[in-house]
Amino acid sequence: MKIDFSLNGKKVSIDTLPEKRLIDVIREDFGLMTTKNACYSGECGSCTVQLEGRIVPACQIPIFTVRAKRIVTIEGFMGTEKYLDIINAFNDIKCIPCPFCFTGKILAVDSLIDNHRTPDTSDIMALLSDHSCSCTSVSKFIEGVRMAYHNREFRGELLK
Amino acid sequence: MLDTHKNKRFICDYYSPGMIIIKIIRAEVPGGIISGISMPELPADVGIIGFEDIPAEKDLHVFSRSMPLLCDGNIKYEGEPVLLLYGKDEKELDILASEIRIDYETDYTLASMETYTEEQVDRELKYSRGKPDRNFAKAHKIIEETYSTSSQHHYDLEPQGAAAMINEAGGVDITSATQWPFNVRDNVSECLGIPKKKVNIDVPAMGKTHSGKLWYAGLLACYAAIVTWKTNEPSFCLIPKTDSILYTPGRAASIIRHKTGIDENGKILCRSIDISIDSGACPMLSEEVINRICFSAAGVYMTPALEITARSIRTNNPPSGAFNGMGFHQSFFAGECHANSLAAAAGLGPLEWRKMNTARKHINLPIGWESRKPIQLDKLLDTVAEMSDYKRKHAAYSLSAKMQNDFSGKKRGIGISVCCQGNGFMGKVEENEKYTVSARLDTDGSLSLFTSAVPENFQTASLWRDIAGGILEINPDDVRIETVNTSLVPDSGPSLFSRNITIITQLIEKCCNAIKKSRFRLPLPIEVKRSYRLPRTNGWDPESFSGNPFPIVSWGAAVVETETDPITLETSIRGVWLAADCGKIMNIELAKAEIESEIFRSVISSTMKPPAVKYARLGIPLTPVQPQNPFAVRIEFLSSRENKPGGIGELPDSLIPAALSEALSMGLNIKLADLPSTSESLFRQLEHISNTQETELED
Ligand code: FES
Ligand code: FES
Repeated sequence: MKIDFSLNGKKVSIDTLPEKRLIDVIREDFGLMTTKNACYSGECGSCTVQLEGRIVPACQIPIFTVRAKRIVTIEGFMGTEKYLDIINAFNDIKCIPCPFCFTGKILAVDSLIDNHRTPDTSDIMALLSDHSCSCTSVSKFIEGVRMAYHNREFRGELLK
Repeated sequence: MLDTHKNKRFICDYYSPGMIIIKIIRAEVPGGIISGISMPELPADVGIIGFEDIPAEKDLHVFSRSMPLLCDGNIKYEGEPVLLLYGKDEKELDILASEIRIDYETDYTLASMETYTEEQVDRELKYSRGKPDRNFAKAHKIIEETYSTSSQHHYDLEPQGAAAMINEAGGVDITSATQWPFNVRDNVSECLGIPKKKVNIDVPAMGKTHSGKLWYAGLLACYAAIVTWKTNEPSFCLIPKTDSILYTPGRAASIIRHKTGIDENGKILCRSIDISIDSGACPMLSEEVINRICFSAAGVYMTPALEITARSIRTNNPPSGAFNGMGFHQSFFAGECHANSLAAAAGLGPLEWRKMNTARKHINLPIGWESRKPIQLDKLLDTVAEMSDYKRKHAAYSLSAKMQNDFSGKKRGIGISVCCQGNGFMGKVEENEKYTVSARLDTDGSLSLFTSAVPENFQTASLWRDIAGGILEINPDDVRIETVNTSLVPDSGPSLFSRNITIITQLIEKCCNAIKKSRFRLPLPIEVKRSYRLPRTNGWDPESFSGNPFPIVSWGAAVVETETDPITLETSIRGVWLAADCGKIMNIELAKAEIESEIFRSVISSTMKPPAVKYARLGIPLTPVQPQNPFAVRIEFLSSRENKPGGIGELPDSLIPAALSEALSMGLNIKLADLPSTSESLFRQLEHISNTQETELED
């Protein structure tokens, strides 16, 4: 089946089995290996991508459902100003998740702070509960998200 | 810069289409004998490997211990690898795997830890000092209790795996997500029967391992090596996350019985401690666990007379493995919970009792070991008590806990604990090993560090860069930690027990200091090598319980405060305070971040159900769940009399479980004795109390 969609801002097309998982398409067909897969069951958050700006586990998305949709992976997000808002914030407060899980967390944080309201603790806890990492300090992570929000807000102000 | 994920290749990224995929076919029963295997017809490009097909050595070796690479016909545990099915089409392999039928003679008795027989005892240690019997006879009170801790998985997020290909030397190149590359190399060379120099182990990027990728990585590397050796093609073996949680080595479960005699003032007179640990079907590291558990069993309290019996028991559970603390966690949970009972029996508060009984400066720990540097246990306890306002809170919560039938409002509790952390291996397992690090200062002024030690996190790597940069007065960004490949870097030993901090960091310092001395005398590049060997004299002797157990010991105390809804039993943590004395702190920010993340991890694992096959079958998620609410964490480091860096990462997991359990027990006026402290265990305790009260009323 031929499926057209937007991947990291580019129009792409793929001829594949309709039930192939989005994570396998991203990694195998497009070679975007920074997006990770660990559990293949929607539990761990490693494979997080943005679908129309919403966070989804790519291992739970059959490729036929993304027809004509916009997908952003960490590869497409890296290097953007929005990415720097987050990475600089976490860098500043020395909250250092491991490189395996951080990619999924970064995209999730971006979706959260793009909501244009100060993320509250329960929003951030809900975000974290989608990532089965038992080793990041929750309070540091909350601080990081808040600082990322402020970085973005500050940049928005500057743009205005 | 923090974007450490950029251009990183993890083991799961090493698969490329055309590679041979390996599926592990596992035993479906926990014991018995394989009576037959029926196979579907295999296509020409699909193959199968069993125990007899292993080219040379059929066992995996870890120090002096070994276990079969594949089941030898006698099933030892559910999930034991029996066959390797391989081919290029994963879907086809899945179908074929489902058609393989293994028949078992299941006339066996399950070997458990609770009801063990003499044949199951793998190793037993006995220690005795003073005259326990005489002291028990004159004790004012004798308190006996039993504690248990369950097995625990590391919950490292990243999957375990290995990839293999034939190299130009006619040997194999292996990519292995391992914390111990040279052990992988030795095992691969032995199972293929080829010289070590023909085997290269390359370590890819890794997420946090939590010691979960120690010897098990060697097993998967051998599987990939055997298949590649047989087919001459690159192969890839990645195990599903559920298999990893259920069958890879976790923390050993334990049952610890304490019997302690105290005098009228609450001072310890004598102790008798009986410990059993479940080493699973193949006790690969249980010697070390037993040594460490004995060392820490009586905690940090002065004990005039002591007897300890500790044994590791073979069971039909998956082999247990390395895990933070290896024995210290179990010991301190039981010992510190018991300390609270002793305080109660003496009519003293937990802090007061601890301060009265903790080992003083230069006084031996109960096990007979005398610290060379003064121990600051009192100061640690005072610091953490002050940070948390422990005394006031303890008094207030004790009072409200006495109103047993009051179910209005949330119940608060507070617990305190104190512990130590031994850095490095303590037994004789490592006595013939030599660990090396080398460093090269290049003509462009950059420094390369060569070590097989795998930094477990970004913090360790940046610490090494900072230290090297500081000594040589170069920018830390100009310090390169070379990729870990066994043909390029020296053997620096297994990366666990904080030895990356204690041993490797010191070797890096020594290398850099040596370069600094000759920097302006010799032409660049200058390369130096420094090695560490366990001291041959005065090392720890587990038989006589004497000698020096660790190159350095760290100390810590913690307070945990909880709030529990007495009706729903929902619990939240209100705060955790931790004070540590852990030698020279290289970077305080990074050290705090490391401890903080370990605190959260310990809270999760102390309150989470252990993984079990039955949960997997029910489809219940096996991955850890974050605490519902964030909580405040405060950490302080005492200025230390020790000038070498000590480990810190294992302190939280020795401190938090007991303090948390005490806080929960206090809030609900119960006594928890099992770890993890789940809402189910709270419920069982409350149920028990209500049953006892009913019986008393009837009487
Ligand atoms: S791999 Fe998709 S959620 Fe774990
Ligand atoms: S899994 Fe990456 S920090 Fe926990």
